[in-house]
Amino acid sequence: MVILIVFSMSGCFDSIEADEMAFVVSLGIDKGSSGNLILTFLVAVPISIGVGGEIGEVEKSTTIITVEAPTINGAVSIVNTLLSKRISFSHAKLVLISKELAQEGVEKYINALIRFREFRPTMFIAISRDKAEEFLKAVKPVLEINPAKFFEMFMVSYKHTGYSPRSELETFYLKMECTCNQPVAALLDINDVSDSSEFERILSEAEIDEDSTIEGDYKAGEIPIISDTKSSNMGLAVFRGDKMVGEMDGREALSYLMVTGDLGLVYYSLPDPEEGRKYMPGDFTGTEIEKNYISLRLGMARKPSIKVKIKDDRPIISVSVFLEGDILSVDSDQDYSVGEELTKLENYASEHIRKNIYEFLVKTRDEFKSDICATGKPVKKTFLYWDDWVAFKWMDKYEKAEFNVDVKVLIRRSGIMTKNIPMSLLKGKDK
Amino acid sequence: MENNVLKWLKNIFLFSPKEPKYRFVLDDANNQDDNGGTDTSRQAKKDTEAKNGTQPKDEDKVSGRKAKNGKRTVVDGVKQPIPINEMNEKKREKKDSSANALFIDTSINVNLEYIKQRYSADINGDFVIREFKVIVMNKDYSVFICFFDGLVDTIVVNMSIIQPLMTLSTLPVNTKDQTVRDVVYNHLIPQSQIKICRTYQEVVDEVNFGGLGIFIDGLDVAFACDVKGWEHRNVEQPTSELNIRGPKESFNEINRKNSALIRKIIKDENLIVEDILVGERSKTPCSMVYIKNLANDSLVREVRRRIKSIKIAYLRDAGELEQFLEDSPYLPAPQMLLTERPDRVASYLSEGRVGIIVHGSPFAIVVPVTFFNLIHSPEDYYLRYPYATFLRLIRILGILFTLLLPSFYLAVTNYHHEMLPTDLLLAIASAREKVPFPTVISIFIMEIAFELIREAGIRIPGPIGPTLSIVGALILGQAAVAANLVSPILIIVVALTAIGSFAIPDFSLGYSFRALRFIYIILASFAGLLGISLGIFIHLLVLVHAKSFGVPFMVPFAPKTSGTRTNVILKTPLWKEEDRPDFINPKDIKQQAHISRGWLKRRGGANADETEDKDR
Amino acid sequence: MQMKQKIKIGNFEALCLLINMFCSKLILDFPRYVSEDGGTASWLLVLLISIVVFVVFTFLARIYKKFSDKDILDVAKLAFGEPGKIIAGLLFMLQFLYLVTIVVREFAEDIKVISLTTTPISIIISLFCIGMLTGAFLGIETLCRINALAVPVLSAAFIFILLLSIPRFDSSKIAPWLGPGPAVLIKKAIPNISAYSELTTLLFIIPYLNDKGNYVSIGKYAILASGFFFTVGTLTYTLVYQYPMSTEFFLPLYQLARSIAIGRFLSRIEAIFILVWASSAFLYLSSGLYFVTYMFKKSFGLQTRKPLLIPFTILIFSIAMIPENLYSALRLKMGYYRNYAWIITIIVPLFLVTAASVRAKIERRNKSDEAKSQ
Repeated sequence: MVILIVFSMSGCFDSIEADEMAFVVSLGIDKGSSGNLILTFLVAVPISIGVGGEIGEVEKSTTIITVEAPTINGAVSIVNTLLSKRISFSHAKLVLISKELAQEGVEKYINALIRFREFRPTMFIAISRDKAEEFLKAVKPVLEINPAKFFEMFMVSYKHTGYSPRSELETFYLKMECTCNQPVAALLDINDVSDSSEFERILSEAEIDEDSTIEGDYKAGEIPIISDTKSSNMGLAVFRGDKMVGEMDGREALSYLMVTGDLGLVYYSLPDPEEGRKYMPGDFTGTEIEKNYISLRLGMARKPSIKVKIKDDRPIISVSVFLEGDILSVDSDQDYSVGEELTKLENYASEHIRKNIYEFLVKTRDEFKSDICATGKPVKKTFLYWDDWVAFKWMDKYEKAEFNVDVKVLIRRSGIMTKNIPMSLLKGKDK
Repeated sequence: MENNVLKWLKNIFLFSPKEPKYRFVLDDANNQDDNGGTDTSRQAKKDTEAKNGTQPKDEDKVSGRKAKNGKRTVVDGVKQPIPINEMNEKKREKKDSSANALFIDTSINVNLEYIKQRYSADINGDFVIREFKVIVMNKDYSVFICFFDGLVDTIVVNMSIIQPLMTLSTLPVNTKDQTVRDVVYNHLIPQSQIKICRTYQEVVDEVNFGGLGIFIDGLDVAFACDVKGWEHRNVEQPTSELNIRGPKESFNEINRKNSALIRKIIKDENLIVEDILVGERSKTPCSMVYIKNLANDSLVREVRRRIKSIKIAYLRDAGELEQFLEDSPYLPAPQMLLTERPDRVASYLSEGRVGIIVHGSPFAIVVPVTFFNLIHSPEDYYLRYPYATFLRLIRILGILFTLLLPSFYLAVTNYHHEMLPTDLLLAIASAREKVPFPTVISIFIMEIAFELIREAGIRIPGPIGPTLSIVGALILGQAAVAANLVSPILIIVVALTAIGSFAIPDFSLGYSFRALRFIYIILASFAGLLGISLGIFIHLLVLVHAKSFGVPFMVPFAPKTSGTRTNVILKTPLWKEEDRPDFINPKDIKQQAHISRGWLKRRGGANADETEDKDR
Repeated sequence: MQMKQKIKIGNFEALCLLINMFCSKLILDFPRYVSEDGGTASWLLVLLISIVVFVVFTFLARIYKKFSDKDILDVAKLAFGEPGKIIAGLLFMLQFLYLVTIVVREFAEDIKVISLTTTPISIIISLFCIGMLTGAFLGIETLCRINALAVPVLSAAFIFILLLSIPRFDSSKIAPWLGPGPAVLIKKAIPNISAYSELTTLLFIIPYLNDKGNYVSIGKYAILASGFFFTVGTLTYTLVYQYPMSTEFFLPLYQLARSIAIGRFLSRIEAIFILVWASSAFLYLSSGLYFVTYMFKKSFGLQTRKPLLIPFTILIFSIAMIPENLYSALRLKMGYYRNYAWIITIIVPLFLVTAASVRAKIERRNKSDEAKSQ
């Protein structure tokens, strides 16, 4: 009994009430002066979120603190002197590292994040093209009050858009420490457009690979979109080792997802294989070709297969991607839903996607020299001894690789209409 | 004082085993003698020891519920002094036995004087003595009867005792060569239960319990007739074990009526109802009920031994008897089942258990019982199998809530914040902003308030009672939230806990869990989930260690016995229960044929019938 | 005539006791140091040691048949008389004492890292000691029963955690298939046999089992089941976290449970893990303390066991506080214990049993010689 009394008087050392902690929702890391870091904490304010909060007070649901310190935990101490509650990272959803820091190497920050117990392995990690501080200041969720929920859903949008990779902390760390894989991270930026007349300028500034700019052909921050929420998530950041070597835009992120097998269900626009009809604009300056597009919804039919053959010390990587989809909309009069038109569409779509994937892979090999799609895994399986594999040095061999890409697209259905009788047939052409 | 401290320290550090020497083990093969065997053998051992002059061990001097031999030990030729309470007890025994040995006198005046003095008839207002005369074999004898007014059925007294004695002797009957006693006994008292008594004590015992004593001048025996007829409650609906399906009878306070209710269900001549009197002043009749060719002999013997060895003055209720009989009084779980329903007792008896009925209590005791029997309700048998399984799962959930929900909530919100979804955590944090107390104190306030309401609700009279407790709880909770004393999520937690505790079928087990949850709350408040696991570990250890009349408490899981295990947690369909629970070791383990639904076997028929049915 | 209370342990209960004693190290850090030794083929290493221990145990059971109702200390007494019994008893007792102390310290450190970070370690160790003391006080029968209750639940929770990690499996992580090579694997297998060093508990509970020949099948089933759990656990761990990284985490299975995320809601289930793991710890420690006091009592021929509990608990508490930091605590286990424990578990019983049977044979021959010569 004496022991029990002594116990209960020893107090509860670790007992922290839920309202004694300040929950950091997002952490931004920027480069500071002389080896320091500038850390930005986006802290949730519970009182406006929970019981009794009103929808109109969205701005007050978070508060931002920016501080300069040599390490993350050093910054936490400084912030704790300012705030009344104790900072806790156990519900942090996003870690944002700025591009200049990423180009110097993220290993030390990732190690700190992995080692500290409060950061969860399912936390998201992303690279900010500008300063992380600016991004976090501009985050203003319009559809929810709870900023944590906003981040959770925002970073998982790759499942239905395909324009960003899956970048959780643990996946990043696993890829970083793997002998046959290189990490990627999502790319975030502020999209500051005030008027739709600027869209043309933005589109022309983005890199395009055909004369039509299909959606996704740009990176975050260059998107022609105006909204209250200024944060955008498009593209991916390519790493070699722990240093960031480049960025890729949305379409290339789509190819990345297709090759690694993480594709969800995405909307895909491709130009119509047939030429569009000619029409005359109002002031008779000439005829313009109407641009027609076909809109598909694509998903993976099977997991992609990667086969590697080593010939003369060069790997020949054959990637086979199997996609299936539905037709969502067809601009032209052609009826692509039946018969040989369907086959034509499938072949055209396969070719289009194949070209995208091929260019993506070539870009990773030549420009970035990093094997982000983990094409080395089949090679690893042919080895028996660890030392042999380490001596093989796959990463160097990747720079000499050749690619064979094979894409097969199968169109399954076409919406709720089996065929579309064009108006020109019923009313005659050119009316 | 120092000796006490030293003794207490020795107790802790040396763990002197204070377990009873005789630990009852329920066995199939039993080599024990009859219940007197232990006493006589120890007596024999002591005799031989005394003969050989060896020193008796200390354990023989241990007093307890064992029968004493009343012998003083001799060491080195000097009689050892005995403590004072032993001496007083011996004196009392001698007095009782002397009173017991008094025989009835043939003179009626002596008897009358004795009875008057024994019962203090001049002071006792309800003691009635009626003197009259009876004619036996054409001779006049004076008679008196004595009884307690209010305890006897006066119609029976008048019609069956006084009237025949006064008038029946005129009928011609062959009385040649018969004594007066035989004539009176055989022809003159048409009453179904008469006892011939030789000593005063027997008559007094009968009269005290609603009997009637008849003293006839010249006879050295008296007659004691059973004419009980006092005011009692009818057979009503059970108050604490309500159900929708199944019979709705419950025991009342008379043990004969209770045993009749059981006999009504098990119409078996092997159902034995053994009477034992407990308590020296109250002399409460208790009955041991069992089925002779089912119940294990050693179990029956042990129950009988335990009941007979209880030496108290006054036994109030079955609950008291339970406390005298149980193996470990400090265990936080009951080791016997108390039930109000005869159908439940009957079904347990037909599994091979033993029941104890106590006069004056509407609850009957069933032994031995396991932990899982305590969470069964009889309605599981009356409902169809899928619903019964579902109900059992909900009941188990209720039990878990009662015990663990507040402590789990406390552990998660104070120690393991990362376990909650972020939305919930922010909601809890915002709700707690306005509350001044730490979570532990809030939980304690609300739990104690609910316990008070529940306890008070029992005592509020009339129909206001239950309503007031519900309304009080709601209003209290709402007002507490509005006054920012507790957070609203806590109200839900506490309410779920209270509702869960109502789902426990056994009253006593419910109390035990309700009391234990406070310990879990304290454990969770200073060590989080680790404290809860420590609590569960020690709780389970203690439960697994316990035995109820030789049956381990958590069987069939703790010692893994043969037989089905699904029937204790989930339910197996009734027609599959072929075996009785084998940990009770009944004499006959099969209670159903392998195919108990005979209609499943088709009667004859050509092959065409079967193939046609299967191909449908 | 009074009936003496005899301790009886059923088959399933003994099996669960053994499984718990083997497998609680799986929750601690077994996958990590097996990964260090075996690289990507760590599961092959585990399979190998399970097979080796199985074979050795079958052999031991065969030569133990003559003494099938005595425990190992009685056999030691037959072999070398009283001093043999005392020395063997002390040897086994020291092994178990070392084991219990290290495990207490490790569990406390684990809890400190995972959840109760500011509580002083003495309080956590004393919490464990309270649970340990209660368990050991109530006796081996109760402990076996509660093992029989808890081990199926714990193994179901363990398998559940493994099943939920299946989406993250990647078969290329266990390639190259033979890891550092068969020679290295075999060389490293020998100290790793100490994973089964709690096999001596079986040799001590032999007199209490129901049916005297049962210990053979109990031992075999226990080794098979534990081998299965070890292999599956290590395999899952390596399939999720590839080789060089798998040697980094302090608590391998905890890390595995932390990353399970199914949707937004069902993502923080390591609470189950803490409960499972704390229960396993309590069971292991109580059994360990019971056996320590039991061995002490038996080897010195004392009357009662219970007075020994508190002194040994205080001893364990004090020794557990000795290592100054986590690193030195771990080094004790990985460095010293693993290299030598297999000797005590396997070599010593074999030695004792062969010595006892040889001696029995000599005595029988002497007796028959005497009988012949008379």
